[in-house]
Amino acid sequence: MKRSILILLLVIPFSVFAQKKFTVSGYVESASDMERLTGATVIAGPGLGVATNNYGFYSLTLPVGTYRLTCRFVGYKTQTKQIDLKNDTTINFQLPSGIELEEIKVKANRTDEAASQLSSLSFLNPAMEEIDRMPVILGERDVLKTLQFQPGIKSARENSAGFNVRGGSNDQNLILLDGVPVYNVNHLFGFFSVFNSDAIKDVSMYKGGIPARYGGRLSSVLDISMKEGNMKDSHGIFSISPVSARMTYEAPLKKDTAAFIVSLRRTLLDIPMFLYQSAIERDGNYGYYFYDFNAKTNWIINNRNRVYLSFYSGKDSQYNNDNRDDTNSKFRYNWGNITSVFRWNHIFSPKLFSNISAYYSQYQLNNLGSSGSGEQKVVFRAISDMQDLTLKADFDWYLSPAFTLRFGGKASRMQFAPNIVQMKGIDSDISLNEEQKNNSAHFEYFAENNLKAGKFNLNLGMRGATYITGEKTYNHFEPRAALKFRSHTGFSANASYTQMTQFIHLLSNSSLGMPTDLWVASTDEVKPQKSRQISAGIEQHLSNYVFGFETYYKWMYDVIRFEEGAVFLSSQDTKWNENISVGRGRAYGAEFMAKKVKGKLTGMLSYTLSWSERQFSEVNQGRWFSHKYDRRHDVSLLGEYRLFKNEHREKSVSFGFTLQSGNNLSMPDVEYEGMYLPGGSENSHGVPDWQQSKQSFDNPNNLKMPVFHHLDLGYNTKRKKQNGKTYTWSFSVYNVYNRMNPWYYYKTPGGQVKQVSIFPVIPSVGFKYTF
Amino acid sequence: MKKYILNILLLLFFGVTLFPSCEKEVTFDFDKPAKLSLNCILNPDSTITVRLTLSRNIENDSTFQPIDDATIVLYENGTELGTLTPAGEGNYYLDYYPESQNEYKIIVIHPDFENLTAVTMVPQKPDVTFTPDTLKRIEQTEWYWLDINFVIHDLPGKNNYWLYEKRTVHGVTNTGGGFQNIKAPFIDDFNRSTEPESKFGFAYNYYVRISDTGYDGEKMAFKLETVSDGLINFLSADEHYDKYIKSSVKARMNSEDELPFKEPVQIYSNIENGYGIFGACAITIIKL
Repeated sequence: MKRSILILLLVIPFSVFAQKKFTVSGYVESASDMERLTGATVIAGPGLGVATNNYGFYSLTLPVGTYRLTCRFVGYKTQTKQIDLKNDTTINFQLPSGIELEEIKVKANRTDEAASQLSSLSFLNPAMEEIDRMPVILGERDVLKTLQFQPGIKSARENSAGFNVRGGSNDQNLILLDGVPVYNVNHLFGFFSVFNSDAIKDVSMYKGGIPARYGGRLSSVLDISMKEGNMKDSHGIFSISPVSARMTYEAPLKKDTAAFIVSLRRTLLDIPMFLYQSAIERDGNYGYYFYDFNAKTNWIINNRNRVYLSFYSGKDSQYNNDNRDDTNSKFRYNWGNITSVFRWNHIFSPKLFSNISAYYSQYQLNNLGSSGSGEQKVVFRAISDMQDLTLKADFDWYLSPAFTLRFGGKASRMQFAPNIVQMKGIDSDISLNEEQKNNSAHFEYFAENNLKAGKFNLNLGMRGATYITGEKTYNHFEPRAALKFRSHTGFSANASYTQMTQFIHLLSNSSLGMPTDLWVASTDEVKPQKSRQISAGIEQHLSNYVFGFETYYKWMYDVIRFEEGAVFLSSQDTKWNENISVGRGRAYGAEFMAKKVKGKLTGMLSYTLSWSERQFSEVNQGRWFSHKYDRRHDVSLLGEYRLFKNEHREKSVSFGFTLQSGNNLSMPDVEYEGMYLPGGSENSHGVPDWQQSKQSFDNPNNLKMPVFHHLDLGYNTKRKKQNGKTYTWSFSVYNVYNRMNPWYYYKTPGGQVKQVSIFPVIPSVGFKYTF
Repeated sequence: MKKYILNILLLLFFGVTLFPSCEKEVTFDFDKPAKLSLNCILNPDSTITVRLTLSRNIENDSTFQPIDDATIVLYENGTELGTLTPAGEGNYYLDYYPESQNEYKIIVIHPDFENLTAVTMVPQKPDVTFTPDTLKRIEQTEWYWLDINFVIHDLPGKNNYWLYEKRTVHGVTNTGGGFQNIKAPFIDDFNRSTEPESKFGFAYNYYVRISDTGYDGEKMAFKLETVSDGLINFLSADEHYDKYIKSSVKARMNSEDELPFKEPVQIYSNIENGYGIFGACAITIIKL
């Protein structure tokens, strides 16, 4: 007896003094299809909570004791589990879908938890069901176009998928699909993006306070995740609009263990063209089409291991075949992306989660022409190609409820082949620009600390990057910091500092998302671009409303642009690096947002006041000038009114209004006498006309286009059958009052300036069937 | 089911209304105040000539108004060289041959406009040697195809060279026009275009520009196939005239290109508070 008491006395102090802690960890999934849920919250008590990572994993280290774990996520019913924590425990949550009274509160907090150190003006996380109900042109749901209603995000042109964030340019946005960069997101010259919304699970975007786990672009990160495939049951979606038809199908390969999803979208635009040409019996044919194909499979090997394999292929093709007078002419203009990624999630311990992935991404542009008959043929081909092969590893280490450490790295090999021209004729076989091919390697590594201390959330990180090209090695360090204070009254304040580096550049001589936009790499002579951004703001959450205000200032260095007049894939076969200017940029502004998040009417009003300027020593005599997208004011209103909802039917009306200052463009506005060029005065016919006078402009982007605005309305009606099938009709009108916004200007040979507008009032109908 | 098929067909019908565009002529009210425009290229082989006119709005197609009542002062290496003499019709002269490797500054003073200033440096004449090889006679003419080996002995410092031909046939002289059958790594590709019929598959429009970047002080050798009985001019341009020529040629090619959505070219000018060009060149002429 005495010996037992002694042992107990010896043991008890250790047990009390050590305050043993154990970890409860696991996954949060959707009960209906086992999709892992990103940003779901698991709370054990006040100040003891954590959000799931991108793969639905959570980890919470707590002292020994009894806890009531509550798990919640928007659109799903909250689940609670009682645990008696005596050792490391795995608790998985499978949340049934449904709406709860708390949903709206959760919806307001969704963004908050996913990036707890950022405001909802710096981090955006729109729900896919919201995107599905927004009015869109020609019935094509588009993630990128819906994001353009957010403050600080502007479309390049009317209805363009290309966008600019806080004064940056089009190429400064990192766009990821399942963690793989996509280098061209434009179909039909930018009118539609490559993302099929039926296959997307989650969209999140960072405009400021970008955490250290992301890098490679100066202005923003758009992280899009595909659905993983339904592990319980087979389901599908069929939808059609005037532009395209889409089919998505997902099913388990082995119930609760492995599943797949495939999704195909193809345009219908070539069908009326084909029918018309057949009717008139044309010699040859011409047309255009695009398609997107997504496929993904995943397999839960065991509790600690899961693997994914994703694939995407998308292509635009414009073609023209002509057979006349025994001469066959063919013309093809193709561009497209291929991405594929293999990912392995491994849980080393209840506190340490890893994601290791290998991916390949390619963008290629092909311009092919041939003409002739029989053996007498001339073939012309111009190709621009870039390939990215990467191995990366990311680790999430949940040290305590208040401290999470993320770290990792990646190694990439990139291959660039900009504008390689091949010509083969009867007596010739010529290749140009082969020497422009360029390979590079780069290595990136990061560490990111997330700390919670009372009402403060702090994210401190550092990212390092080493880029090796030719004979030069570039090393850059990118500190990141974001701090948020949140009071119990719903008020919060935030500030952030972000430093970014970008080793690849998109050379564009138009804003249209044209395939002639050229991705090139930094070289021995062309340095990587760099930026620094500071931002600060406040936010107030009320019961039905959220108000936010944020200001930012961004400095950009070594930004590059095409020299004026440089055009690729025309008859000029120029080296890109001899046709660029290198300079600086600066952008600053303020964003305001008001959201109504509860009730029959929900929506958002946003206003951005901003400036964006550039400076190049070879241009404008080195003076600062307005960036093309320096649009001073941007007002957007987006909303939805729920007319009716029960378990069998839903009806709603949606609206979107945007009003923006016009783009800037360069337009000659002065003429003066020219100095004849060498030899010009020695011609017998006199100095050529084009040398006698010069038309020019004082500074680039001297002309402001008219204010751009349009109103779109949509009506959605959804019927749900007992067997789970749904039918949704979407009616929308783009540009209700037929505002002919100028799309571009050009000058005729006679000197007249013409304005082209492309989008009048456009009604459309879309249909979606889910089974 | 029939109802849904009908609705789907209606969808396709709507697709036919895709993108009807609207085009209209617009005018912009470019009401910019006129500025002085100065054009002057210094050449060691010529006396100094300056032309001074007024700019005009794009919509205005009247002739350029000459300015005869300005005071134009020229400086050489910081020392005042003299005031140019007005000769009417916007022309001003100074009986002086500028010298290579000297810096010249020009100031234009007029009571109604801001002062214009600009600076340039006169380059040295290009040092060029050549060896012609006769290839074959051109039938029914007195001319020959020549294969000429040129060597530019580049002088230290930044140099940019412009090649152009001058040919007189039956009393009519033509210059420029471009080059085919020439290839070298130091040739600027900015005005190169595909020419499948040519020897190398491309041709240079209007001029060939050679930059000595990476070849400073070295020999730059290249071959040119051309016709006999003409003149090949090697013009060494100072940095300002070089940019002016390049931007002018780009603007010209831009206007000829059929590709839409191209950006207009800003013509280079080094005239502070005005337009035009104050540059310098030196020319070596090779007779074939």
